Amino acid sequence: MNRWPSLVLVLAMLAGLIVLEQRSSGSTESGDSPEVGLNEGQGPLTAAPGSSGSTWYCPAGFITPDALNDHVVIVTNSTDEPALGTLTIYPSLLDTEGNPVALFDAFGNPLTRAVQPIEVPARTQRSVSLAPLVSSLNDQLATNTGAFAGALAEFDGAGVNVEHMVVAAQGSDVGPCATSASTNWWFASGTTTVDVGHQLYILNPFPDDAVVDISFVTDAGTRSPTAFNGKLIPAQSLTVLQVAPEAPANAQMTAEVKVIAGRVVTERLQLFENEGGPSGLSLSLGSNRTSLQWFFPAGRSVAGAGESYLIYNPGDEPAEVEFELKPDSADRIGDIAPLAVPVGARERWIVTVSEHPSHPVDALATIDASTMVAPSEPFFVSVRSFNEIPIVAERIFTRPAAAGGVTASLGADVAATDQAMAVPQALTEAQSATLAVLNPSGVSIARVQILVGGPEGDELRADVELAPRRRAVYDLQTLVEPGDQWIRVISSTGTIAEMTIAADGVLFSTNAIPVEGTTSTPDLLAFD
Amino acid sequence: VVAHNPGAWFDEVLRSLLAQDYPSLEVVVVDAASEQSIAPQVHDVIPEALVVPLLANQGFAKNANTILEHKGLGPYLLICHDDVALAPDCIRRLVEETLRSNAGVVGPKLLDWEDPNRILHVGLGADKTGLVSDLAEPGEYDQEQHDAVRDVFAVPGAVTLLRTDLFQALGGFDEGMLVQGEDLDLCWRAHALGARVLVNPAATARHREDLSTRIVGTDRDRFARRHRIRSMLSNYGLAHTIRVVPQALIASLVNMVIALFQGRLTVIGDIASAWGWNLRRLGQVRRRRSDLAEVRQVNDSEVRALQIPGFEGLQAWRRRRADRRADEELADDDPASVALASERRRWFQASVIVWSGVIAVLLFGSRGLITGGVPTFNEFVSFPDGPGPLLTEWSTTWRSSGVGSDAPSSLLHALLGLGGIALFGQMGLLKLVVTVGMLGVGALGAYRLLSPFGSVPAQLVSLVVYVAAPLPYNAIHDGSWSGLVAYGAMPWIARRLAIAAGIPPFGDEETRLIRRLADTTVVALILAAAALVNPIIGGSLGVLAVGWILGGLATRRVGGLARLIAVTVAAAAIGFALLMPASLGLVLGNADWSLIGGTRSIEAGDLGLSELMRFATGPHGASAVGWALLILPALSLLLAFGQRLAWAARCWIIIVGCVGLAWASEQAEVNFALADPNVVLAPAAMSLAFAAGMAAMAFQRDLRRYRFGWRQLVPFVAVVAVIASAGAGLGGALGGKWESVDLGYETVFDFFDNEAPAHGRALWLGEADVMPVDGWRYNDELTYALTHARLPTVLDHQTGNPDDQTQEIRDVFETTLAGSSSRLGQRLALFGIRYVIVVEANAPAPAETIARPVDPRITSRLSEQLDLVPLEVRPGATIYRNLASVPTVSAFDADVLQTLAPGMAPTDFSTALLEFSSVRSYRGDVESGEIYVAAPASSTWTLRVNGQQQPRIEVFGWAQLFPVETPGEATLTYSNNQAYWFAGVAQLLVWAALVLVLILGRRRRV
Repeated sequence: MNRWPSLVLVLAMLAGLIVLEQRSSGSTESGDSPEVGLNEGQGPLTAAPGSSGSTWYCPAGFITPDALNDHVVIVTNSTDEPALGTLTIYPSLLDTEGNPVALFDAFGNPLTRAVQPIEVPARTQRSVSLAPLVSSLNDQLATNTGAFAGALAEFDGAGVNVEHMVVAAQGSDVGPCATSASTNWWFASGTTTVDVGHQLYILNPFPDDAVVDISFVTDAGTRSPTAFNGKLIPAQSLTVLQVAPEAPANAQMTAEVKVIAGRVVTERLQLFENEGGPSGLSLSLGSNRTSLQWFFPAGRSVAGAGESYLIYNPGDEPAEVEFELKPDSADRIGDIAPLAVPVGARERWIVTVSEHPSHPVDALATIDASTMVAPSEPFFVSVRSFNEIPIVAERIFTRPAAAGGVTASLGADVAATDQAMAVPQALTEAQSATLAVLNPSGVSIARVQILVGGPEGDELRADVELAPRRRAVYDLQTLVEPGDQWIRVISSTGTIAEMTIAADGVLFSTNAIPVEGTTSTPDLLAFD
Repeated sequence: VVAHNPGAWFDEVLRSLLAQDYPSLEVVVVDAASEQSIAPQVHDVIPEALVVPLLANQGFAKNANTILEHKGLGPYLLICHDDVALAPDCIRRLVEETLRSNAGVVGPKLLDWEDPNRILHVGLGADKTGLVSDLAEPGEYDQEQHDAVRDVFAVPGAVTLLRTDLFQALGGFDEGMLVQGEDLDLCWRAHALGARVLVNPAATARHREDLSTRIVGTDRDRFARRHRIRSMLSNYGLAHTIRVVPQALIASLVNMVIALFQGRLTVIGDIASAWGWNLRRLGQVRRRRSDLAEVRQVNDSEVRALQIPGFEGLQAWRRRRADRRADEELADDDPASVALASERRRWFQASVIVWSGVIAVLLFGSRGLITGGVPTFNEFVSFPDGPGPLLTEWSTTWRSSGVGSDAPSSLLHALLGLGGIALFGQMGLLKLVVTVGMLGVGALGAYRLLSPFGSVPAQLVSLVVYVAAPLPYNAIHDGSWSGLVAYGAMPWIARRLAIAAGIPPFGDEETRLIRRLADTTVVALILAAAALVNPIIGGSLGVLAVGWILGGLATRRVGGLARLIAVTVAAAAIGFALLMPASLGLVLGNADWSLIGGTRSIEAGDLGLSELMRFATGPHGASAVGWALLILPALSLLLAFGQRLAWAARCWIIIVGCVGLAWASEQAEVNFALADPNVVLAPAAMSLAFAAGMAAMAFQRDLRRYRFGWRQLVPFVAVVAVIASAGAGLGGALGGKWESVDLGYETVFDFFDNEAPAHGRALWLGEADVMPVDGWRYNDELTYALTHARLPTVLDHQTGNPDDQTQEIRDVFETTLAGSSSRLGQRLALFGIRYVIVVEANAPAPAETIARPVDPRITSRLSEQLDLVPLEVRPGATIYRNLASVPTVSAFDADVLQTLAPGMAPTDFSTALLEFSSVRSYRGDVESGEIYVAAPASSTWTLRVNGQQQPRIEVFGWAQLFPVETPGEATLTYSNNQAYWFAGVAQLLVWAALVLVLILGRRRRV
């Protein structure tokens, strides 16, 4: 019998398998993509159409029974159906030592939260003031000079955005509520100098306790206060921490909240009361994620104002960071070479674009970038890490109190083709109000439509094409009409929209909230 | 004389009694319900004889004992069969010897009826277990060599003379013994009373030896076995019972193992049934022991001195062996015979050594699993505490998987339940046997696989290579029950398929159709049994057939290919029919491929060609030495000729084909799951062993065709390779558990059973490789399952098609996690889901050996649910308790549920009917309101309050509630779906009938 046919058949089968495997492994290798980010956290997102519901966490706020200090939850329902849901309020009291005070309801049961239904009619924005609600929960809260109050809003279905506003004597600030909890929270900026109240609000709405470790990166190194190590955050409650006593006298420092067990939502409230320095109120949701690239669409070097970018590297390897500032005049004068910022492991650097004496950036690791742009020249900023070490970037704006105050805001790490924000009540009194829309892509032209909505539905107010890495800026007082409730930005490719409002005692800058499923991560581009 | 339907010889028997020279003889004939009265026949010969007719034949012992009711008995009794002709002086000589030797029992020399020069028996010896041995060789020529009076342990019951007072003191024969063994038992007890038992060869009788056959047919051996054990259990004192019974048990086990090797399955059944028969009669045994203790005069040590030392079975084997040698020596004039005998001896010794080594390695490597039990992980699911729940599960048509449904029962539960009964309820042992025991089944199969080739070396090589293949040990590491079953079954399937198809040398075209059909049915039975564990194993039939056809074509051995195709198709059809009605569910309607192929991830895995070729699907065989396993089988392609080459080609095509299939599945080249690689590679492992056997035969027979050269060195290389690969396998045995987990999930999930498991459900999510329960595909990577909130057991094995509600739960889970809602618990509440469990390792930390982390987006979203609270358990599985859960059987106020908004969970309810015997039967007091039952609305569920059946209302489009107006005692029960139930019973009967027919057919052939 001839053995060759069988031998050849078996060998051919083997050879075929080997060839297939080599092809397969080649395609696998080429398809590999680097891991980005320390965790899977994400910024606030509006529930996608068809979603079963949405949940919004609004930790930071304090109230007084007279409502002069208030925490207002702003719900925008842009759908054609009433939005039904519940609002859960988490009250918290601290004694003079800063320790929590136990609260009880009318029946003597522990009071950590109170639930009440909420309905927002179709195509309406509704603001719910927590001051009267919290005061009605029990006598302690009604008679106390003030209390902290976080909120959790849950709605059935999609199409609802929830933002919140904190109002105090120092001013007010508005920001989106979070839509996800996390095990890591970073605040790249933070001030604990005299006359600055710095509070961290940690909300644990979940049915199990959480434990957090909080540390601060200062010019003097990393500090981990004992009081903030292994800190228990009881289930379904709000915990408020006064930071200044534990990390005093820092013009700028970075806070890192690491959750050992469970998950939490963390927000920061800063009260600037320095007559000679910045004055105002700043509300900032922490960053629950790191990223290789952050965008800040609305930049403007204004005389008498301060503007700095804080870049924090929470990783264990140094990050090779570029700070690119692109003025709107770049088409005429050409691009400006970016700054190289070597951010070491667990280090924070500050890039200051405009400076004035009360701007709280008196820190060692500071780069002066004021020469990169001419005064009053509008621009956008991108901060990017080129060696795959993800970072966190935040911007701080300071203005004289009469022209705004202080605001700190996190950059945007994702672009979206559908994003929205509520029309703020402060718009009517604003000295300036702008909406900046940035196309972060390096190659694609974005067609951008600005729709403004209210009880009568959406109306197209602007339609523009944006070249790659260009932005458009709109005057909101022109764009928005009385009765309008929300602004929606729809684009053919992912864009980033940021609104900036400045009024007496009010300065805030907030990114639009993307709709889930429409987001994308912009390409990481080299300077061109 | 005890008579039952005697034949023509009976006159001669009677005449021999009449001819006795003993002067004072009274003849009593007990007619044991003969079809025709024997009284006239008796009186014709011995007119004064007394005939005692019995209405029923109750066995020799009981029939004989009727003499005790006879008044005026003389001092001696001679009890004999109806087929014994005594010599005229027989009784006199027996009586004289009794008086002379002061004996209690005396027996004659029994001679052949037809040839009185041949000896049948001259007394009996017995070992400690009661195994008797003839003191003369049956059929021995009588040269007066045994003609001396001697003490014996027993005399055959054909003719027994004994003192009447002794017989009365002993209470006669043991009436629990139908026939066979009653003589040994009587003599044993006579010894205990201090009576001598003798044989007087001067007294003779001719014996036909057919009474017992007329009483019990051909099952004499079976009766002898059970009666021997009964005597042993009854006649020893406590100390000797404790000493001897364990030895007898071990001897029985050894006998069973030997019988297994010899393929004498009926012997195994007989031994097992003998012990079972006695265990069921322990009450009788206790009474007999007590009766004997009252009259005992002699201690056991003295009785033991009369027995044969050691084990008679072993000594008989030695005698047979010596006889064979003597026969060979007689043939030493023939050189061929001498060589053949010498070779047989050599290979027999080699077989003993190899088998001893294999058994030692398997036992040594599995020692941790044998002594500590098989842990619960992946497919090594927990077994219930006893066979009851398995048989109950089989007997019902309610399947609790998902939200429950009417469906046919699984025969696997019935077979495991019966297995549990056979092992006296030792379910841990059953689990060990059906999992780790597959190593032995596979090894034996590999050895027997090549028996038609007539080459012991080939069989031994096949055995060693199959045992050295890392596949089964990796299957144990992976918790792959399917892989082990495929490994165990594959050689048996291949052998029987080859026989049925008549592929030389397994068979030829001359085989009769009925025989071929029987072999085909055996293939189908083995396949179907394996497919009960995992249906994909059935696909191995196709793999073998295709591989053999291609191999046949490549080597131009095309004869029999049509037969092979026909047999394959027939076996598949019969197997399919045997698995009906469940098999219909695999192909009809909206059947999902995952029911056959499983739900393993179809994302690319870690195993490449290199690992799969070495069967390194886990830690075993992963070293470079693993390649050595392939060397010997590869040589079969290079060196073999003829049918050996044809088989080598067939084997290698299967090896490469299976490796290719496993690789395509592992590397996501196909977009469907193809079982785990341990299953897919099982035909390849079997083929590897087969090819190695062919190589061994090529060394024996084909190498001589070549001129001296490199090929002659090859055997040495091959031996080194086999030793190296076997040695590598030995390394895996060191840990004692084949590197499986030290701790199973039973330690994590056992608290479920304390929390009304019938009133809650658990939703499981994880990769199939680590899930401790079967489920359905969730996405390309993950599997989900829905069970009652209890420790998953084999009752949850094989889930069937997911029903609409179970799919809805999956969709709710997915959309909730993908969206922004944080109330998953609320959305799952009305399905009765109390726990959501995410499994990310095959065992709790730190025992895990396989980690399969779930997409962090899923775990992250789960941890953000406001109504799910994680429980503190060992890492590996994360258990979330659903705070919004509604019990599967719960009480509500009237009209609450029907007005509930979609997706919302009610808040005011209580658990109802807290007493439950299973997930199909609940009981308890109820108040007026509504009883909600989270099971698909069906008339098979009935709620009765104070005996009154309550109306049933369908809610939420699938579940049911029962309005209750009057408080009282309520029962909620499920009634079987009759069609499914009858189908299940019919299936079991068909299997039983088929097995019986095949066994009887084999016996007949033998």
